[in-house]
Amino acid sequence: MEESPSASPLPSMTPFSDPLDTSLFVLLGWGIAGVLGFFLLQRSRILLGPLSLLLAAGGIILASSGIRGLVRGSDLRQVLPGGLPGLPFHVRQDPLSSFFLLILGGAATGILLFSAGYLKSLPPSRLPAYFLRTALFLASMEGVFLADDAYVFMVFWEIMALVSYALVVTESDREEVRNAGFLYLLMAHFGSLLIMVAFFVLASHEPSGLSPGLSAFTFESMRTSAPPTGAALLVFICALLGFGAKAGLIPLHVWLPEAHPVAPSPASALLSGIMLKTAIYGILRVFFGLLGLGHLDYTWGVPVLLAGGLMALFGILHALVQSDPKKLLAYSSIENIGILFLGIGLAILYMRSGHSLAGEIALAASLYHAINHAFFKSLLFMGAGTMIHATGSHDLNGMGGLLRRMPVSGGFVLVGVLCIAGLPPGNGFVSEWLLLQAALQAGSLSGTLLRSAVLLGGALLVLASALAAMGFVKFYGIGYLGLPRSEGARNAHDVSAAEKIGMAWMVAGCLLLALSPVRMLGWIEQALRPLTGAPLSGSPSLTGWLWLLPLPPRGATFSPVILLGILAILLPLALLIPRLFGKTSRRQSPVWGCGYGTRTFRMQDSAGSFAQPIRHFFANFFLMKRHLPEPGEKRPTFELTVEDPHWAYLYRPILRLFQSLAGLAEKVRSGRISVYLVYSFGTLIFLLTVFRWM
Amino acid sequence: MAVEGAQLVLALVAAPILTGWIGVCRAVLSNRSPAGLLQPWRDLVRLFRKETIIPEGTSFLFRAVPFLVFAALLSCVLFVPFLVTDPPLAPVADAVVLVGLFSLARMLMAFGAMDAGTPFGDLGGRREMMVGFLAEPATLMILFTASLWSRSTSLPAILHSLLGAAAPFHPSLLFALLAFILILLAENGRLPIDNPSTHLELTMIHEAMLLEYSGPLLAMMEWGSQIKLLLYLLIGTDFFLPAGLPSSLSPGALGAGLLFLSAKLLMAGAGLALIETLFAKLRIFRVPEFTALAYLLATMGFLIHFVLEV
Repeated sequence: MEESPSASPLPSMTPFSDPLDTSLFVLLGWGIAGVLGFFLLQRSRILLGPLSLLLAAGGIILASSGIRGLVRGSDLRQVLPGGLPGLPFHVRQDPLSSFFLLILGGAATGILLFSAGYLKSLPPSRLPAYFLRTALFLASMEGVFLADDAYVFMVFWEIMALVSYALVVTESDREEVRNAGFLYLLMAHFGSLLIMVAFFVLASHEPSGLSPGLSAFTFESMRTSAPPTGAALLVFICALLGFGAKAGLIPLHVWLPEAHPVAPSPASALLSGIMLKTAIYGILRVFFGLLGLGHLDYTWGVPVLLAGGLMALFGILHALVQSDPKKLLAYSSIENIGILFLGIGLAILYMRSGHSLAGEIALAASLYHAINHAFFKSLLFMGAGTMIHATGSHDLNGMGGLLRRMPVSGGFVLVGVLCIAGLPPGNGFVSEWLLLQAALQAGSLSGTLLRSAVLLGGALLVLASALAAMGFVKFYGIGYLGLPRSEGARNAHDVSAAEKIGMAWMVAGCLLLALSPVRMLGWIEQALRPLTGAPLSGSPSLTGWLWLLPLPPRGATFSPVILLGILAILLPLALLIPRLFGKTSRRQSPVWGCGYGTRTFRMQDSAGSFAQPIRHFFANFFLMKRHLPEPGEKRPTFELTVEDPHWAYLYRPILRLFQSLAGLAEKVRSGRISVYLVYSFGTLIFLLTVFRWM
Repeated sequence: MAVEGAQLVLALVAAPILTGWIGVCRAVLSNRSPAGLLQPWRDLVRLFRKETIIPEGTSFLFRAVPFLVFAALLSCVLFVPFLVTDPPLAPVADAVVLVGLFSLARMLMAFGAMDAGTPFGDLGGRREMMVGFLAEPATLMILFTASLWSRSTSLPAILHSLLGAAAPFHPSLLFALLAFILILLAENGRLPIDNPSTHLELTMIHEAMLLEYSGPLLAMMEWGSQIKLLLYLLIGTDFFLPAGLPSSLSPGALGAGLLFLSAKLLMAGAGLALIETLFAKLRIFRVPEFTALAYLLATMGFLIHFVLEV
């Protein structure tokens, strides 16, 4: 392992020899390719394919740089000229950054391949700007992962926020898009403000004299800071809420289900699949890197754990009642980020109460789920994009029967659905299994309250993942199965080759993550070691590549590879069984319709009726307005609206408060110049008086 | 290989017979003349010989689902100890993976039902998923409680810790057992949650999903469900009545173990039939209360472990 001191090593001459140089090369390349593409695409849109491939190549190079960084466990830094006086740009690629670069590069590659085919439908006038924004968005996310001082971090963080805002409002002629974009921008800035407070507090508590002036804002000097408990708590809360605003932490999540769905589908995939992970990266960096494990208290893990569990439950419940497939996916992102928070909370709780092994497993499960989510959520957003393109409808009730008409992309989406539902042998199951194994160690904690909190977290996790299974049965069952629910769905056709390749990339990623968990955990261990200080004691490398054994020696074991092998042997055997009884004929016939001859698509469940039990059981989580027809009504109507209660009980009161304050301020404005002159005169007198006595 | 093969064959043969035994007990308890232990086998063979009717407008998924479901459920047989305490493939999957595989089978079954595009298929799929999400947290709590002694969710580890425990009786396990019985009823479509012998549209859950399946496809689904019921009973005996399970492969021990096992399964089947005879079906919206009770019982078992047992 390379341990470089704070001074940067000499930049090597060959750009591909060291991971950090490679990453910086990709960062620069994405920026240049974006600007280049902006001008080229204005002339001809034929170049979209090659240009997307160029960006995708950057993704592959970045992923390989991440992998090399993880394999070597390298910790590389550079100081680049520029920046503020006394604070040049500090960049660093440590294993944690490498891991997130792997997520970024790996998932972005598939999304970019997909968009080469998908964007053909974008109006030509929008294409150049969209391409530029995508490239800059990718570059800025990479910058966030590489930043090693607060200034660089915030610059890239803000670029990321602005560019992603621009991506969200790509179709700005629709009013809902503009509203969603504004809400997103507002929340992003609220979050940035809190993150800056966290950095300021950290910088102000570094050991005085060590790094005077602005250099206190390098992450290196923040790591040495020793804030008292109160200040540490302040940093903890600000970072949690600040990054939480980006990650969709409840109640700061309201922008997410509005903004993610209105962007074009590849952009939604980037936002949900990758950008949410920048927030997780930020939280890990601040909690475990800058603040340091030693300054955290184990009780702080409990709110994070329970917030994560509730987020998971709330997110998936709202996902279940959506009928816009992209909105369903956006709410499911809240669920998945909740699972990540749950893992982080468990980790803090276990590590600081002396059960470091269980804590490391929880944290590793969290990171594993982060990369899993990047792959399957991007895949599903692409799938939702193809559904919307094929049917021309944004509503599940206008889809149906798509698997028959789009067998290839429908098959890919089926893999994504099984993975995100957390079912074996998918990749989502591996991370949830690890998290449950960590939660099952609750018995070793002392104190009934702590144990109950962990148990409750585990139960919420299981409830959320079982609900996720139902939610994705709805997504797939209503969208892809059954009879087509509209003319558009009846005439749907499968997608272009580029789109298939992009989706196939994601499917391959999911399968790799499902089948080589031990290799992946080895990398995650590398990423976590500098943060937690100790290697996973049950180092997975000890158990070979086949077996997962997180808690040796007697702990539970799981081998996804062998499980898949067994299923692969049993499935052909099952197919053979009917042959044993002789060959039987097969024919098609209409379904049974209770003796009635007609069968229409309207007899199927609608997206709303499928979720009816959920609305019934979890009525407290929703704000429902329902209009039922009266008996004997001539033209009976049925109407149901389901809303996020946070709007009614939190945001609208805040809005009203601001409006009434603005109304008060309005009273001051009379429109007469004489009155305004009196105001300025009064202000002048006031200021003179103040300065007289100061 | 021999043990794995024996496990598969035994489960394949015994699962319909177990269902037949429950049928016999139910018939006797309700003063009907029983159809015999082999009735489910006769039904299966008859179904396998019938022609397959595929509903119009379905995709390949409809035809693939019965086999996928069957393979997923059959694979579980390899991971549950019932012939010996340590089946060679048991380390592949622990109890959590088993729950995951059951859930996989359930989800695929719901897909097959929804692919037919009928109101009943959708209704069945929706209700089955609903019972699933209500039952899974309770299932997890039972696992938590059963694994308290071994600190591991691996089934052989749980077995060994229970077989070798100093105290023969654990109050915490009694609560877990009660919760387990409730979950077993809910997960296998038995009364009072679902009635396996009804085809009344408004009340059926599991049967509604199978409505469009016929011939060999239906046989695979039925056989799969019978294997699932057998698996639940086997897991139950592992957790709560592990005595008599041989740890060696000697013929004598295996024979004795098989006798013990058959006795336990016959008892459990009779108990199940008794419960099904005594209770009427619950309204569907009262199912949450039922599963919440299971969750509560399992949680109490967990807490009692720390109060009384350590």
